Amino acid sequence: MGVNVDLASISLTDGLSVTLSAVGLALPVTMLVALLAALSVAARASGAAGPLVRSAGRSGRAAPPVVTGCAIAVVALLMGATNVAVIAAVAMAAATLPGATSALVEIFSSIEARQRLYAALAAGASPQYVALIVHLRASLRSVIAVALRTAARMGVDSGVLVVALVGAGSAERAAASAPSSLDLTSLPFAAGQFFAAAVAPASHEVLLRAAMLVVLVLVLHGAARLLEGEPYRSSVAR
Amino acid sequence: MTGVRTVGQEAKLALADLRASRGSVEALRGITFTLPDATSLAVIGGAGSGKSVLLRAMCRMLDLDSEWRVSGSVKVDGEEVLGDAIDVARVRRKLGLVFSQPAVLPMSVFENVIFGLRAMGVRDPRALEDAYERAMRRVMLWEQLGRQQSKRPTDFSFEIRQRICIARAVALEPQALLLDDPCAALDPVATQTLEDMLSRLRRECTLVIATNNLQQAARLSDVTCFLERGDVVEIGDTPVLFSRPSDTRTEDFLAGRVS
Repeated sequence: MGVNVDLASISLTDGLSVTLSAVGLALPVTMLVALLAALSVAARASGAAGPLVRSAGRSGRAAPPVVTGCAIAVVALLMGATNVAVIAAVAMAAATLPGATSALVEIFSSIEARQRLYAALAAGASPQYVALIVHLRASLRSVIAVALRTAARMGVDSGVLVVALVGAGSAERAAASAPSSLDLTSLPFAAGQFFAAAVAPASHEVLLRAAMLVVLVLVLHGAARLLEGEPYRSSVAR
Repeated sequence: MTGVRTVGQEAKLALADLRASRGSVEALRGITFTLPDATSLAVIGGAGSGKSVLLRAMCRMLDLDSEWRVSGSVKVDGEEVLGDAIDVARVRRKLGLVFSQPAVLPMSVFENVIFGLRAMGVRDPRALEDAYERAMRRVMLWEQLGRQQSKRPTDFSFEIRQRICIARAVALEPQALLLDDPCAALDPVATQTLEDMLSRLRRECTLVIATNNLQQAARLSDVTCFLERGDVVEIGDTPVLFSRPSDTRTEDFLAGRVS
């Protein structure tokens, strides 16, 4: 299997676009499922998260991206490495879902959220109405911040995936007596190009693309931070 | 001990053998009393005496935690509110609960006040505006805040926010208002302002106020109930209970002696 030639049925000439398409597929699915799961927990009662959700969330956040990357590499190899963006999207969604769900459950289970929930219930709203309207309206910024952080993690995960695939591809090429040096500009993912650029810093184009991904991840984290606001600054006007 | 108050008027609130427990802990042990219309009741007692649980049990907020078990009877205007077949949302509208922390909703002042009406299905803009004005006038906020209805409650002080929360409950025209230490988050000046408003409100609505502030209980209530470990130790007219308590435990509590 060659990484640069046979990996995907979609064009792999621009690694950044493939990364973005994989994240673009995985992110909405992950966030939608995580949101529904978190809301169902919040709607059930006072927003107390079940121990299973918390445990899964901790595990999901603790799992290093390399685990995701290696898992995707195995799946890709087994499937003949077609539709790599879809394969990556599915694996990334599965890997980041527990963490995203747990983060949302924590948002919906905060003291402030619980107070809002009780207040709305005391005003005679039904639990479903409360969960869907009040929770979402109050937590919209936080939910978007979780989505941005999840996207950033997916971006990093996809980079690790590429490293794993590049390793597998290189080994295969070496076995088939292919040229030992990689064509850096045609590596599939920008993150992969970043790691490759570390060993071949002369390629400015590769470095530029890799820097773009780093900037993108930083922007996503920065936007998430901005949306969440300063955690210790009270907005209370006494 | 179970306290019973019988007055020659029809009871607005009637509690009979109300019990609440969570696991093996019994938080309320057979509370029984009746309260006439337009009467304010202060519930006093130490930490863990069951003041907040009593209020939450009455308006079915304990239903939110499946570990709570509630039994007995709570009647509002003769209508039972406990039981599986009861519309819980309707009960909560009849018994407006206000929390110690002002829990404003993430919407404008106007939307906060009419939140319960919208949840009930009221859609007529004119009716909603009328209800908003009425509620804001009753909590003495109309002059100050009535025209700033599009602002967020978080733009205002805790005291104003608490009054917005009370307006949200009042907008539903409840049979009784249950206030769980409503001044706990307020400074003395804000407490005084809120008490002035409650003093006016108590003339037109039945109030049940759980409070840790004995002076506030004396100022705001017609009847006072002293709870200890989920039991009613003593219940009676406020001036009498504060000046001549019939139980030594009440006397000790009022004097600040730890029993």
